[in-house]
Amino acid sequence: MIVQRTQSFAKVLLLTLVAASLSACAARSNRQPGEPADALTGRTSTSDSRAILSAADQVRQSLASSEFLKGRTPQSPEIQLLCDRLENFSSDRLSVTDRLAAVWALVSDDGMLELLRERNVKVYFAPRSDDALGAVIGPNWRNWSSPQEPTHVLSARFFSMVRDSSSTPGQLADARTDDFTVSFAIVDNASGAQAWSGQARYRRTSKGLQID
Amino acid sequence: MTSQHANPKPAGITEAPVRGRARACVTITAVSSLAILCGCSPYRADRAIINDFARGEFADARIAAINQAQAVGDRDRTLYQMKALLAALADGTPAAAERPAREIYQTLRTAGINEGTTPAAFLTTEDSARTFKGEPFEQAMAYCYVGILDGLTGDWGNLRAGVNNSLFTLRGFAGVAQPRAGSMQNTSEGERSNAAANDPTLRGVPVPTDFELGYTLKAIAARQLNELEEAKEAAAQLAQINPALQEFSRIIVEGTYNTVLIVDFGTAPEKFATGDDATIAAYRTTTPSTNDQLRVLAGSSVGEFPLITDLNRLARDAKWTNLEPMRRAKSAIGTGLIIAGATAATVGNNNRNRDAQWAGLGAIAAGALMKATSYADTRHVEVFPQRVYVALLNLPAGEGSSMTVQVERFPDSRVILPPIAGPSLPGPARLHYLRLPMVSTNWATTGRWVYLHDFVPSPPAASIPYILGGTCVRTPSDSVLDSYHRAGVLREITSVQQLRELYELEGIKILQGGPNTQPGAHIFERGTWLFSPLPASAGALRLFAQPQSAYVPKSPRLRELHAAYASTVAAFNRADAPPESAAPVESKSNRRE
Repeated sequence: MIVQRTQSFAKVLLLTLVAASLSACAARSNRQPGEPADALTGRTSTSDSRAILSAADQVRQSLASSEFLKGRTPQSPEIQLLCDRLENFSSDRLSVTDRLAAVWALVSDDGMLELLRERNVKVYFAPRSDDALGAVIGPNWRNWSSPQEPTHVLSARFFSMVRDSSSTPGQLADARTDDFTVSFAIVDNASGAQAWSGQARYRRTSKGLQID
Repeated sequence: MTSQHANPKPAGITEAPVRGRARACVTITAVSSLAILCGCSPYRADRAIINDFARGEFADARIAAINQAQAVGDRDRTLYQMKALLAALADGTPAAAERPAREIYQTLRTAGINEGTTPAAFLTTEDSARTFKGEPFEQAMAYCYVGILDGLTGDWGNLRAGVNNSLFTLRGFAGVAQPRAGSMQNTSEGERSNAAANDPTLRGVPVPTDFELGYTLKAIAARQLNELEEAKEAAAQLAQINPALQEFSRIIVEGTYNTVLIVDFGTAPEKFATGDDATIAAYRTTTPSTNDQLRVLAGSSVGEFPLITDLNRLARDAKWTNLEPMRRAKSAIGTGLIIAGATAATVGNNNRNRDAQWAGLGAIAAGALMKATSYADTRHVEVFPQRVYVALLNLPAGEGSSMTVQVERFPDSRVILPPIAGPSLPGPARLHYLRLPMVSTNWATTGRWVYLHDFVPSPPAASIPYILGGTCVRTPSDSVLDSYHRAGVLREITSVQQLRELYELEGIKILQGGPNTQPGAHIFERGTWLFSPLPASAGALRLFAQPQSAYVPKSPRLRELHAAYASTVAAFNRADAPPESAAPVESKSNRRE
């Protein structure tokens, strides 16, 4: 009896071990770094430009109806708008590249480009961001980089509110929601007066234990 | 007459196929076992990198760690990137730290990365199935170092975000400090349940963190961002978890400092496997804990700063791993298989039953494999420091002030930094990071720059490049080229681009920065890169605070220039020579990246 049971169990275990050895050191977790777990999960370590795009409309509409661009035409004196001072006040680390990518997604939106063309506004990025700029824009980044003295400066501040939750009461948080708010401001470089301000909001959620 | 057995088979034909299948089973088991065992082995601390850190040879350490990070698989990559990040910070090369920092942060911030890996860990080994993120204290430290990298570039917002992520809640039984020291090894499940009934911290409930470094950096960052309420709150939390830091917390909020110096010392505790079949992960001290303060002498001012975080304490309080009970069960199952297999083999031997013998051998092999692969995951970042200090200083702008930094009763830790200037304009404080050596070195206490680099305050009007026989290793720029012209050399080079091309002819790469740059070794250390580590770093001292080999030109162009300017350079060097100038030593011809 002992012999037969041992024999059966050994066969079952043998099959299991063969399967395990085939994937022994190639065993992979279900999730790779940066990979969303499901439709509701987003990576929070870098800016998600797609999320920003959905907020770009809000900003474009605010700009289009603002006093800053009111009455302007393609023949109006050119506004040279320098994107600078992109500051992170959120709870997520946003590298220079991340912040540039977020603003780039905003200004390169088709609707935004059309608006800027119609109102004769030329956008530049600060020269010191050149290396990161190349990574964001690509080979044509020099077209967007200028050392000239701008007429106006666009600044952006990233804020966030974080909510953690747990699927099991009293246990460690395994879900997180980040509500981001990006506050934009355009300042007249000569007078220092604020010409326009606006906000864009987007949300990211993630599921799963962070500390695992 | 009909035989009792229908269709009787000739003797011998029935036994041979069964015996053959049994042998095949055992053979396959043995081969599978070998495959698993050969592919996976417990992690062992890298002594070479520990020694590099102890001697302050951080360039060697970061290059080795980066190469290892590129060579290993996904599951181990974060481990080597953490080492590369620490080495790059200690070496004063933030450009080399950016990519590891970005990838570490991405991994740490991805939730559920090890979900669903328990079955695989049961069938193979824990360290081959799970992606390394580190123990909770290692993750917290990694977040802080990512934040420190941002702080070094003046980005207090990102520093705040990074360290904020280090203040996650812990599992309640993290308060059970003794398991790692062995006192819980023989505690039964029943005894632990009884203890848990009386103490809520033992029931695995979330409890607030007591990570002092996280609160310290959060308070400082918030203060620099003028977020006073947040700074006060973080400082209050710091004082609550460690009342000895109350006065220090008050100074953070007051904001009467313009320089923050983060100082690391010692070597983190080493993680090893112990217990039956090495199923329990434990830590042993490398650098012992002491209460020594950090002494900083800046100009005529002396400051003594308390210890902020002791990693020995954090390692003793490391949270209970989810897989430890699983590893013990696996070990127990393995033991059971061996016993059953031995019994079956013995019975089979006594009854001359070959099938039983083979089955027994197979079970023994399977059991041995399970026990051999139930060892604890011993991967750890062996180059974390043992302790962290934070000094809040007020340095003069302009010429700056030299600084002597030392952990009180550790004379080999003494470092004398040549003049470091405070910020010239009102505004946020400036952050510096220094990893103290563990052994005495030539370069740590000279207290002066032998070479002219990008961070020397008030550089001289005239200078000669190192590649021409001088002492200037600054990044080419208009002002640098102008200084060469003022010294009477390189007049035929009229633009920065031409100067860069001269370096290119020598095979020298100039660090430009950027998100994906990964500089190799400096030209002073048999490398091909020209860059200036941050001034308050061990990397800057090691490169620029001691004499280096004379440069040997490679290109015909530079040889011509050497010949043309030989007398000018010699005269300049004589006039500019410091009292203890060293004669050039034999140049090292071997180059390495």
